[in-house]
Amino acid sequence: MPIGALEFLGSTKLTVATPQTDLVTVAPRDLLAIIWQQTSSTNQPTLRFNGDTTAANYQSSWVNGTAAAPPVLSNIFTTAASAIRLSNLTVQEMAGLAIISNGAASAKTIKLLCFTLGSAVGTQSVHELGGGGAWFNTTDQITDIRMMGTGANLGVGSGFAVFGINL
Amino acid sequence: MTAPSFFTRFGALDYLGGGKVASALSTTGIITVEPRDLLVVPFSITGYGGGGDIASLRFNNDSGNNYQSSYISGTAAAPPVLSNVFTGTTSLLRLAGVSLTTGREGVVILSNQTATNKVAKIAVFDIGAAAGTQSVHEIAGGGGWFNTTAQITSIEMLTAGGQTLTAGTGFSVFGFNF
Repeated sequence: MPIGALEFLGSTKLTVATPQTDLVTVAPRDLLAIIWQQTSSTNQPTLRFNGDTTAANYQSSWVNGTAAAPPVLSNIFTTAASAIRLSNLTVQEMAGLAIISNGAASAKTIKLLCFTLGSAVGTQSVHELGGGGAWFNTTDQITDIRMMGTGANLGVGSGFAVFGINL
Repeated sequence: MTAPSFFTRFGALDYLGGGKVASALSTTGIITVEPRDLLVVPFSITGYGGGGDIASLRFNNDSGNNYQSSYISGTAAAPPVLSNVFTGTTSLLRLAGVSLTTGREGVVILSNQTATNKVAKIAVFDIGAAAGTQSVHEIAGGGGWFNTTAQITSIEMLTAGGQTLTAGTGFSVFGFNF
């Protein structure tokens, strides 16, 4: 079966520092790929789907590694948060990719890749080895997405683009 | 240069340029690209001549010590032994943490807005020397270019240690404005 093309579904970018981006409405697709960046040094970017603010419906799971020899690993699991965390750090500029399953009848599984910059050229940040999360909704496809911070403003230039495909 | 099919299917990502070396060289030369808010750079390293090395990227011909690279590698052991590989205050962005002679394949997701430092998430796999030989794991990595005055408008692939990139090594650049 041909895979077809990944379509561009929508995007947004902040021109002033605010706690959240505009809402991006997207056509439903079986699978989504979101490329994102966050430019603030004091915030942790998250995504919320379909305006669902129910904390019990999201989880995020990461392995961190310290900048030590050898690195010391940490398991970081976040529930009771009303959005999926694109990173588990709150320290500097970051960029990454989210790959999201998006069938109506199954929970949405999200693979996350992220890198967080050090605070200066000679300063190392914590490693984010592996991450992902989920939106526990088994009735709807994702049709709108918003990026939010977890307290402080998202920096100017923070934003994301959504691509999708029907499998 | 023909773009890899996966990325040509990212409908709205523009193909901005690319290149590969036809023979062993220490650099691909500088590829000029139009500025975009975000860049995606798939790369393919066929191997290194003269000894182990790490293919790297340099932006806007900036050879100052304005880059950092940060990786966790893991040995092919049970359990893997982890190493923290940090190269701070350096003159290029390393595309892997470990120096070797064999090939590697990966992709860079790169923020590219004028007023903020450029962040690179790098996913890379190192091939073993033979089908039955395992390479080191590149578990996680990335880096950045500390520049808050310009967007990236040119990219050069070169080796960190001065060895050569073998024939067929190269990269493509795709971009997008949010």
